[in-house]
Amino acid sequence: MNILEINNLNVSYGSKQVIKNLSMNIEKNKITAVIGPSGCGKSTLLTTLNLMIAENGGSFTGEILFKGKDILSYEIDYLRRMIGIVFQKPTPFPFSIYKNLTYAPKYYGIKDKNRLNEIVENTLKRVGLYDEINKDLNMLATKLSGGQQQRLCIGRALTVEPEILLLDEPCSALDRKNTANIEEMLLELSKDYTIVVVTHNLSQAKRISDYTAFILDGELIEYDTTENVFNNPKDDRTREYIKGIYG
Amino acid sequence: MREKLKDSVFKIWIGLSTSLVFIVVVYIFLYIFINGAGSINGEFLFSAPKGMPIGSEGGIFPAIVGSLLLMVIACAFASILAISTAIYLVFYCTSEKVKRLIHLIIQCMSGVPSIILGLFGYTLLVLHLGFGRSLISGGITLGVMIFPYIQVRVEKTLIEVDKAVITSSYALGVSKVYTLFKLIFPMCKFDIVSAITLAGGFAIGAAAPVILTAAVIFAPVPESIFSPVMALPFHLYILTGEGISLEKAYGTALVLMLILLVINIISVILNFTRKEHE
Repeated sequence: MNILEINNLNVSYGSKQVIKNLSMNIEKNKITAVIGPSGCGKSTLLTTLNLMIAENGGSFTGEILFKGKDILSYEIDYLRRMIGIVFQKPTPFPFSIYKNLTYAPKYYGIKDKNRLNEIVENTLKRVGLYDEINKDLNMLATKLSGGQQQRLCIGRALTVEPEILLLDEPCSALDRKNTANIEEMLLELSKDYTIVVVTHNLSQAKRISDYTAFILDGELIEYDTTENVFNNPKDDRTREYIKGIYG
Repeated sequence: MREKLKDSVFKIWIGLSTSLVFIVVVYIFLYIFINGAGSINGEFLFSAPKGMPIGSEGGIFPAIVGSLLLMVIACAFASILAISTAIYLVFYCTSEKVKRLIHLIIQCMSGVPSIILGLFGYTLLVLHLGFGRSLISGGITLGVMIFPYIQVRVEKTLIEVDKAVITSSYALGVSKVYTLFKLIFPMCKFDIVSAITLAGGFAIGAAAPVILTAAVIFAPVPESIFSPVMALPFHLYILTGEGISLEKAYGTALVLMLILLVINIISVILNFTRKEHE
């Protein structure tokens, strides 16, 4: 089932067109990787999907359907709640770990202490931080290591119970061990969530994704199962890109 | 060789400048301390001025209270407006033209001489609005004076908040207002309070704006915001200007300086706490 359907999407910042006539569908509860060289529009694509693009001064034409309905027909808050996004650089709020995780639930009206505690506990377990930090919930989140911060941010996005999780190069600032942790976590999360991950790291895309989209200069060049894209690319440009990185 | 010479001359120059400023500050403080410490006692701090002419005996209690109240009103009035303006400029205003215009106005405001602000307050508040010479007239006038000071610092603080953190908050589907109150303010609270405290110090030491709007030679501790008040800088001005009592003048100056010192120390502590938190 397609949770997102993108039809003839054009995105531009002022007069600069970043995404050109892109159409693709995102399947539910799968991991879709978006690859391509720097500046090709991968991140722009992600920020368009939950309308964060407007905060950055961009605009788009075309149609994006979330569960069969135009994303513009949803309340923007609701849409962003359903389609969470995590950025490249970990952005923990400079509060305690506990407060980071209760920030959004409190906004959505959850006041009950027990319920909040439960959310914090479940979230930490989900992102694999529970054993590491459940004793230090009052510690400043900014004092965590980079990998822990990123997992906390993913957890924070999960506290509002989204259906889709967009990740913009979530591991690019992390070392190998932390990257492995996060990859393992994403595989686990994909059972309950749809994940779209933008990555520079081709082997990462290969390791974790079910589908891969290759974007070049704002155009979707190839989109297929990860296996096909990596082992049997139809387009020469895809082949060159994949080879180029390996070679 | 030449470069080395330049280097050492420059070092001597900055060393001398720094020590000169330091010496002047310490000298002023010590001088006032030595001359004023003698007149400070319980009676001076906690009783009203007495004697003929008034002020030659007794204390400065109503002036201390008056000055503190003026400062509180000024800070409350100015910070509400200044913080709102800063939030508007940083988070809501999308037109560069409007932003530039507002910045220009604020810059002009900060350049208005304080005696002119005093005259403005006198015309508008004391006469037209009929508040009379009162705590409220003086407080608002001082508020207008410190408004640009607070606005500029708060705006700078808000701009410095990491954009990525704010975006992450919006990305959770959380509203702008919630983000402001639950994320941005808590992040900036020390800076904002420190800006207000410093501005308060600036307000409490100003004589010109209150001469026409609030301060009188003698008044008891004010009963309402429409009562005239005594203020430390104005009292000091009267004591020396009329040659009433040099000894009391030194005492008053010392009290004023100590209040300012406390305010500045509070501000430094707040700044320090903020750094600890980061």
